[in-house]
Amino acid sequence: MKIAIAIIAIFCARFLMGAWFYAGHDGDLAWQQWLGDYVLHQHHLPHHLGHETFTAPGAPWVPQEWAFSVLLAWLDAHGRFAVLAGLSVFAAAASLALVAYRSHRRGASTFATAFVTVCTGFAMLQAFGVRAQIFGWLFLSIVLLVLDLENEWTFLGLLAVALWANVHASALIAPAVIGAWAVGTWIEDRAWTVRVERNMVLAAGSLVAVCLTPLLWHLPLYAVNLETSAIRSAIAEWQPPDLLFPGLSWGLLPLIAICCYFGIAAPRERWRDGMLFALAALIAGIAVRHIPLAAMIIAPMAAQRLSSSVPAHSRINAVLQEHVTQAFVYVCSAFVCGIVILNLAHLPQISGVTLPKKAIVTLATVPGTHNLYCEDFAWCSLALEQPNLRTFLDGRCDPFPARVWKDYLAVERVTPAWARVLAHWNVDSVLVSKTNSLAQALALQRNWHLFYHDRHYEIFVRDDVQISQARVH
Amino acid sequence: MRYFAAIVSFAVATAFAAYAHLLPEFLVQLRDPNLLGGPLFAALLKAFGYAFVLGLCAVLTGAAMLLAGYRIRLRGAGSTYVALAAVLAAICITGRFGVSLDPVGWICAAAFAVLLERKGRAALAGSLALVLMWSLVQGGAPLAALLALLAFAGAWIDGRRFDAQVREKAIVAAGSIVLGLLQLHAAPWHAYGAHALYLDSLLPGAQRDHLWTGGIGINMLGFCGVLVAAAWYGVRRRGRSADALQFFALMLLAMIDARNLPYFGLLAAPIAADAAASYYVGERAVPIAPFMGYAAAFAACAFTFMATIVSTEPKVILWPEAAQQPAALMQRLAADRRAHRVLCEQPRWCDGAHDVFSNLRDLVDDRAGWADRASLLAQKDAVDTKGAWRSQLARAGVDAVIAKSDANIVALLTQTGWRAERSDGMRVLLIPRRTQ
Amino acid sequence: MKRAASLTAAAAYCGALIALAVWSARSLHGTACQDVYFGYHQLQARSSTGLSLPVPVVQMCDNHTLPLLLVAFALAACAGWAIMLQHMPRKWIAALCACAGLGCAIAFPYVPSTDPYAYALYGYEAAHGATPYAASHARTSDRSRALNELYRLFPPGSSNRVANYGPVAVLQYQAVAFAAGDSLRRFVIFQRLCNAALLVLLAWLLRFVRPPQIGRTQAAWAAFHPLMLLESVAFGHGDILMLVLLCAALAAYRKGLPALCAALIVLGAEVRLVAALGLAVLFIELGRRDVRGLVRSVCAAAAAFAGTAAAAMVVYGKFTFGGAPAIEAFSSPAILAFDAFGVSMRHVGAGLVVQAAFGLALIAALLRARLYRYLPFAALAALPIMRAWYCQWLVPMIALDADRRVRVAAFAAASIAIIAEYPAMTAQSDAPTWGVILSLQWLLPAAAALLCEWKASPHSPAAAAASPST
Repeated sequence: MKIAIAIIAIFCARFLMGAWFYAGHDGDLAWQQWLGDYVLHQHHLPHHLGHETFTAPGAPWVPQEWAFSVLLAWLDAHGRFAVLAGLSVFAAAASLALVAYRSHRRGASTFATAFVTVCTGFAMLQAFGVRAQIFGWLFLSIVLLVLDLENEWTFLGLLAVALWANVHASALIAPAVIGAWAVGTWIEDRAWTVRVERNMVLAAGSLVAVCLTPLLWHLPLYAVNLETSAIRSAIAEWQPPDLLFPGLSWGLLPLIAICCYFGIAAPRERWRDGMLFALAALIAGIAVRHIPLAAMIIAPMAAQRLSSSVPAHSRINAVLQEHVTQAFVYVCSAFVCGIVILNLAHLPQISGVTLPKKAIVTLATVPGTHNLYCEDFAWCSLALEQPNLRTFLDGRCDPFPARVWKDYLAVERVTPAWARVLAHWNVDSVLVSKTNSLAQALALQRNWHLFYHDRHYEIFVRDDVQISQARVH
Repeated sequence: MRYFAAIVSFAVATAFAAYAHLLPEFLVQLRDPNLLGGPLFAALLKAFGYAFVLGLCAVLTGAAMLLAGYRIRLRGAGSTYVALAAVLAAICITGRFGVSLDPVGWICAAAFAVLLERKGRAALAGSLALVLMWSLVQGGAPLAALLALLAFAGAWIDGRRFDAQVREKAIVAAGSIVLGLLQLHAAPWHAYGAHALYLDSLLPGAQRDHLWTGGIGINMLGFCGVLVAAAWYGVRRRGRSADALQFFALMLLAMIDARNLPYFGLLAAPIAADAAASYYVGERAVPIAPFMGYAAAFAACAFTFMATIVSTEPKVILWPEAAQQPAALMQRLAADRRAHRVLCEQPRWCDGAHDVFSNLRDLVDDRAGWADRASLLAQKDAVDTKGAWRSQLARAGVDAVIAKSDANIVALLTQTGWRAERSDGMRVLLIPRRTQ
Repeated sequence: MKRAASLTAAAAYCGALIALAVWSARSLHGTACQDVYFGYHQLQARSSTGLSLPVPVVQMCDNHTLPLLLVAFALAACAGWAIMLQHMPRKWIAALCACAGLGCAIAFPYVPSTDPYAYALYGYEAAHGATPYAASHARTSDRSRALNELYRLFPPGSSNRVANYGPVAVLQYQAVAFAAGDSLRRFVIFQRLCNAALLVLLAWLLRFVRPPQIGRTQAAWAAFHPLMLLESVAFGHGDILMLVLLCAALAAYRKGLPALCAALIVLGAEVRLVAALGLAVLFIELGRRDVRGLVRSVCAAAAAFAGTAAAAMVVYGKFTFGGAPAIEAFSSPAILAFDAFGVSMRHVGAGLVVQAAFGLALIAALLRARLYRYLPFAALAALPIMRAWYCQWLVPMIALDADRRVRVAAFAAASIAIIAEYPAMTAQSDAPTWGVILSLQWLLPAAAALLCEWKASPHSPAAAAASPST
């Protein structure tokens, strides 16, 4: 475990840097803060979109990340965004630590535990951020741990699922995980034993637990609808994985390869592991956001089986357990952490601001109310706090109707109908990335002119928009 | 369960025959002067018609699946596990239904895998002969070389010394490697073969079929099925290193390009099924009947199957284009008899364009390994509309673009002097406005 | 059957090398390479040249055929070589194969890096009285045509302008430059001939230092591994001189001449600094057994060092073991890991410090445990760059070590090493490419060695599968 802790520390440093500067990179924090502010002031959850959007005011909304949003808004109002960043890092680190612990509990050797920890860390690396689903990782790890424990503490898993559901809709995976585990134990025992009954009750209970939110049954319905929704094609995280995706090739794939080579389920001893592996393999192929989840599920199994080839008494494990080696590893870990922190703190891609904050603020200074279309809908979340800007589609994305999404994609993908869509919705300002197709298309349009540009972004406004002076930055 | 594998095989063959269209690569393969399969299929089309060729492909597919099952029977596993292997292989193959030379490759791969596990000079000679035939007909020698090399490595690892068995594997590997090298697209006779394991799909701008396409698709189910079966029981279970090596190599190839998935299904599913069998089978028993008996039975069934299809379908030589191919647009473009260079948003849309219409030249088609770097980069940049894509297109002499109607390149080109000449509902043909 | 196998393997070995040389020559036409020099962050990358040199440099070229041919035929030749090693044919057949291999290597149509011309630069500068350890033009009134061409090839600021090797290496280049006169083509050919002679000498030395269970012909044959032929002879790298000196040192040690051994190791370190590890091994062993011998060795090492240093000061104006090691973005595990973490190349040096620390710790642990056979592997692991020719250091292990696992691992690493030429020849030096290469380079030998051990254990699945029921 000690070597694994040193490895986790390195990932922590990386996560910390990502989290510390996250606000400058992810537009979703803007709408989540807006939601949190709303809840803190109005003392209830919004159930519809308001007039901050001009395409779908009044559309029903399931604000599934309400708890995270409230926490974000409260901490940010008190100038403590860093606390939330720290909590996110803690959640990710704790998830990794629980992976290592579960591996250790299964009798995995030092080398195997360290190896799967590294793989799981890489699987998490690209998906990490100050986001609600990071806390979902922690809850998943807790649920998997209580399943492993197989004692009276197992029902604590229900509490974890309930809390998880209030934080993020990925809690809906919990009944699937617990259900697969329960079925696996049933096949193993081939009878309705005490543990089978316990697991089945836990699975049923988890189905109820996901409804223990202010959203009640709307949350599961929302998650099911999202699985089949067309908007997924526009969200990067919902895209299917690929071999060239680092989280898969350096993270999940080695774990899958170990499991395939050694085998994890036969001969009727560990069908519960087999069922979980099947579930993990399936969900990993659906979307890249599931890769960390799959890795967390599979890692301890892989570690356990890898230990049969690299057992605890082997030379490498003996070396790793020496005090000198551990001290050396800790020193190197501290050194690497320092390098990671120092370097990333000055790297523009990490420490800089990549969001078009300045562009939005500049547009908001133009008198009048503007209907803003953002090429990346997450950017429009920044416009929510500007009273004179209304968004075509913003980071809340789910509640917007299908027709709005269809029109959004028609413009974003620069289909032949793009200009007609903008005219239909009376969009008078468009925020684009300089290098993308939409910028090229707008530049060729006579009735649009460039209002703002910087190194990365441009804003085009329609010719009839009154601007007091030309603002080409 | 005894005949379940045969039933599955028959079902697959029937489904194949029902899915009556041809794959785009067929147009390229048909006229490849270096593959005998192309002229052979062309002759069969002319002599017996499209239905016959369709039935032949279906029969070959079914045979490939039966061979995959036979491989596991030869290891002594029971019918249940043969059926498991057949089902998994069937799911993996389904995504590649369509008339092409692929079924030839599948049956050769399955047969080669059987021969690789046999001992003796007959198996050695048969393996090499099969690889030679395979390389001439379909061009799958690179895959054969990989399988043979892994079998040799596995045998050497297991045997720990260079004994007679390892020597045989080495000879097969050496022969296959030579043939495989000769198959590579820049070899003396410029064969393109089976895309060199579709590794050329990793080139920028190349046609690449992804294994995972979002949601739960048939490819994903097949892949997961084999993966789960392997993970439950462990490919090392039977103690054959060659199994593990082949399994992981094919798994990686399938993840690189989904066109390798049928090979993964046919070759890796038996390994996974055999591993499962090793836990539940007390004593192994090899099949009693000789292979020729099975072959004769299969031939009789195949003959009946094909006769049924041929007799119930009119004899046509022209074949139904896949709906995914822009045949109408190509025809429209070629109608003016002028030379054109066409960019297809999906490179495979351009397959066979030059072979069918001699005045058309594609920028990049399915054979990305042949395209030069500039063309590949122009293809990529133009499809992404990034960088200096307009000047790249101009430099490449592209004067026609076929893209999906809602692709961004369509809007951007129509804004700058190109016009939509024709649409087939899904795609549009763009040419410069000045072209009459 | 053994005879048939060995004859077939011999034919495969020769055939693969001949085919590689011929096919490469034919494919060289129409190859477009960039004439670019660039600095990669603060790391000086190699310049790339086209086909204008007497023996073309194929680097960062838009031709994937050449590296693919190189890899494919090299692997085929390795397979033939390995089979011949197992079933040695008659000596004259082995000698014929060796000659054929050497001939192909000497006549090879291109080189995949500018290193041979860098050696030429150092050699010609030294021959013209200038120091190769400073980036200054030769102080001769009539500079040679070859030197002018080399100065155009390596402009000021190029990382190759200053010699990165010790004085013994430079001496070799100087001698070759002297022999070649004012012709770069002759230099490259003569360098190849010189390295070929060294390779034959290595083969001869290996016969004396082999363990008893390896035959003399087998030990000699080990030197003709395709990697050695290609990297040392065809591509002209200077590691062969270091290997010869180290083997000579080992032979001297076996003959009871520790002082000579120490002196030879020092000379080897003045070709490539990594050879200094041999001194540590020698001193540790002598310290355990023969203190007098230790004292003599230390004195001999010091004397050799002092002598060569003094000579280098006089001749070259400077003594150095060579400059900083080359660094290639992404071609070390530390750089890859840091890149995966998003750390920029500015701090790549720090990452390499970590890797070096691990490498040194590993080397120290191996020395402490007296597991000398793993030292070459540890040395490779500590390097900040992975180049194909470094794996030549492992080739003598195939002839020297009695442990089968080590021989198998060395063979696997040396055989797969040639794939590291691919990114340099095609400018595909990005993280994913190097990730795959490093994975193969490290995992394959490790897996091979582990499998050897595992198969030998009584609990392996092979043993389980052989049991009546599962």
